[in-house]
Amino acid sequence: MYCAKNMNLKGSLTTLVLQNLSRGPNHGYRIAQEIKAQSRGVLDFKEGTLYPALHGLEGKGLVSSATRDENGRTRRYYRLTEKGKKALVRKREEWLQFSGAVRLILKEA
Amino acid sequence: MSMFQKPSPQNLSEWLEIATKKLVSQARQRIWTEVASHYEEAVEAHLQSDLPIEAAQAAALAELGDAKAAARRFRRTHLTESEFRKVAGMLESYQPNMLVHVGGVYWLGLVLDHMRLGSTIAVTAMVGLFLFYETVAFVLSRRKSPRRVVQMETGGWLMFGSAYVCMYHTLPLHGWDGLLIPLMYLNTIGSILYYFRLSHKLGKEAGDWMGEAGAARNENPPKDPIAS
Repeated sequence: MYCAKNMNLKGSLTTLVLQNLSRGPNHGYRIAQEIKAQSRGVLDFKEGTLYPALHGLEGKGLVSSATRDENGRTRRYYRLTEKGKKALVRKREEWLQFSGAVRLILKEA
Repeated sequence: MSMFQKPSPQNLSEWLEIATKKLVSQARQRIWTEVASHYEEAVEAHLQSDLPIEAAQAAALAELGDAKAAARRFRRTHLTESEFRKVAGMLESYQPNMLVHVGGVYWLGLVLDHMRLGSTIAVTAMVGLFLFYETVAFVLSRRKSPRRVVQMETGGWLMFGSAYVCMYHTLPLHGWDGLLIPLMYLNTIGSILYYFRLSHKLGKEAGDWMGEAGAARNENPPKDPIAS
């Protein structure tokens, strides 16, 4: 199966994370697994890049986080802020516009 | 593998050591807890798919990816030890580049006097601006607002750095002395970029990384993320 491992997901990873969090609070491991599962394994990014992305989003005030102990394990849950919700709407529109334009060009070829 | 290339991390501790190198201890602690929890869950998931323990650990480690790449990304978001010391020092006692500023004002006065450009008014205005800037920065540092203090420093370098560069252009520099101008450019641009990046890093969560200020902010425990 084709895998987007080597594609540059740096810009789109934050959008994917925001989209995932729009469904409710979530922790890093589950965010990674859900993105991979939803893309049917196509977006197979390295999970070590997820945390700098999450911390960056938190620094910008797009997500907030808090720790929670579950089954003897400390998990940090992330939640979308109001600013994050607005950013997601904007990023989603930008991405749809961009992907639509690429699709138009590829269809012509 | 090249003789200069270090071997890849063999376990989670080595991976985390590389990924969090040079970061401030608060950030290191947070990353260690978060990534260790992630790793444990990944190992458990691999064990459930009938992998032996060594293979499960190796697979979980491989899924984390390149530790050096993660380190570069973490350093864009979190303060390093040296940056932390710099900002903490600025908050403790706001005296950054005070001597440079004083020297700059003095030199500007000499240049304006040399050029006969109504130096009394110009120098008074410059000294007034300087005092205003330092006072505002001092008040902000007392209020333990790290981001604002760093933003002031960025603004200070934009203002005073530009003044220094203009001033040195008016001096009759020749030969080796002429090197002063490109050096001043480099110093000014480098400082502006450094402080701009630092203020960007501090973000809205600056308190978390700034010891006392952070502790005061975190007196009220965070809400349960699931229940709220």
